[in-house]
Amino acid sequence: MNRKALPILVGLLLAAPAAAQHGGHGPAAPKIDPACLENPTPRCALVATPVVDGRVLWLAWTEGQRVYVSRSADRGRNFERTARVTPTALPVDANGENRPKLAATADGTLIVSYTLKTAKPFAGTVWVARSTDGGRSFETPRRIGDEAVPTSQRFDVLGVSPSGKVHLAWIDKRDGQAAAQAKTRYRGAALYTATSDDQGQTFAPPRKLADHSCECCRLGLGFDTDLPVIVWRHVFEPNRRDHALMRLAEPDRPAPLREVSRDDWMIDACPHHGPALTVAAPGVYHLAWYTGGVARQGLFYARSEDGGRSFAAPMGFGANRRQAAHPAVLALGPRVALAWTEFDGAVTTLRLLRSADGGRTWSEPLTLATTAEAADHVLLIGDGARGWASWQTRAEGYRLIDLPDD
Amino acid sequence: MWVWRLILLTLLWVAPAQADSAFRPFVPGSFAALPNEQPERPLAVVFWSITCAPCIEEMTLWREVRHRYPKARVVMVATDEPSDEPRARRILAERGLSGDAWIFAEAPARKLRFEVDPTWRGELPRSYFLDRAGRLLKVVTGTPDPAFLAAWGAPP
Repeated sequence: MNRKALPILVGLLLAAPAAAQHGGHGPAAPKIDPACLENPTPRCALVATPVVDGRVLWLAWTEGQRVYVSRSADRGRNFERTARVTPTALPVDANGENRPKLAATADGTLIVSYTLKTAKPFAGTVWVARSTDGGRSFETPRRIGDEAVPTSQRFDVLGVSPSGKVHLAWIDKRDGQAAAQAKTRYRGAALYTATSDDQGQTFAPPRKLADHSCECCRLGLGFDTDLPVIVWRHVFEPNRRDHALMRLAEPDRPAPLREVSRDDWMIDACPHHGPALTVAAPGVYHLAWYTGGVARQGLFYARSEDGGRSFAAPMGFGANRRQAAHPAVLALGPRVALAWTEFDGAVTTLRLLRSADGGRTWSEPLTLATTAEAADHVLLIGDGARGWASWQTRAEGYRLIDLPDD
Repeated sequence: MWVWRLILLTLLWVAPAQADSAFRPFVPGSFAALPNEQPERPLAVVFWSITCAPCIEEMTLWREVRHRYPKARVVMVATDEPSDEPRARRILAERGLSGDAWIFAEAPARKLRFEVDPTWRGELPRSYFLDRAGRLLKVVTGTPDPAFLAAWGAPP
């Protein structure tokens, strides 16, 4: 045997499995700032979901594959307490479009919902956790729905009705999966809901609200008197991804689906760009969304004053050539605010439009804030009297910005 | 002599693991430079993501396009983070689309998207078709139309 060949051969044999391993399976875990692991604060977050409860601001956020809830008594300038929601590091959906959700009930219970990505691509499960000790600690999270039912749940949205009923809705793929098994076609995914009458301790079995929702866009949820109103990107025949609204007549039974606007966006694609909804008064809804349809492109606003039976002609807003995106909308009686971000290649700008007459006429857009690095979507929240823009950015951390009075 | 055959076999065993060639980093300036890299070739720049199911379903089409229109160049750009490259490579390799592949290599992603197209909010799949002279012909979100592909891929 050639003596020189042997070391080469051994070297190659050792190298080969390593080369094969380099092919890798599954995304690498995100890099975690060690300081954030030891002492997690919202400064570490990439996305954050706020709830205002009197003078207290609660924030649900993620870092290092963990979900946290923090408490602030000074509207986000300082956070004096942070509790961990998820017991271990888990693949939590934490991007702009799908993020942990947070709700507070009248008795001070905090409820968090979030999606865990599963090993199968584009799949997930929705989990709920609660705190009954003022956000100091969270109970073990529980999965929503029956584990025996093969499905995927993602893009959860959470709200508490005025009477205290907890509503959870999400995008569910069980119908699409069943159709694939039966070798039939099924457009998109489905909208499901589950409700709780005991502040999130237990949830009723999931019920379907609508077939053929888009698979990958956030949902909008509001309450008309005590019942949910949901808006989502739908997949109308054959592949038209325009928006639909459903005003429920019962807590978890489907109601007629209304088309918000015929934008004619015929695509087989993932916009990852869901709508926003706010309910100003019974039957009065304000919506904002993004479309790349034939009829119109960009960000649009419309209102309905008859519970979703009809919608005013959509109003375009935002600068298309500055990536105007991910609109938020908030109504405080007749005052309506629209917020969104724009980007000029270097700086991301938080923009605002205001109306004092229920969305009929609007101010000139103004800039609320800017950032030079990565930014979350903007969210708008209110307490019935005042409104704020909630914005998490890498460079500045968390900001809760007062919406200007006129 | 058998040793050398064994070495050769081992090399052949190792080689395929590297055949799904490394991605090139897509950075500011990359999009503008693409037409000049291989002038006189119709160019399609296809943006996709490992998190985009329709993008992956559409890959059969792009493999077919590369096969059917060899004069054209199809560049696959993953809009994922660099840490997702191994998975992206595997997806392309499984669908016969290795080679001429790129991955977003500078954060934030929206800056790279803006440079490609200031109106693009990130929806995927998104493909940009340029003619042999490097002029932008069409932007498609979703699946491109076969008639357009034929006209673009095999120009007279």
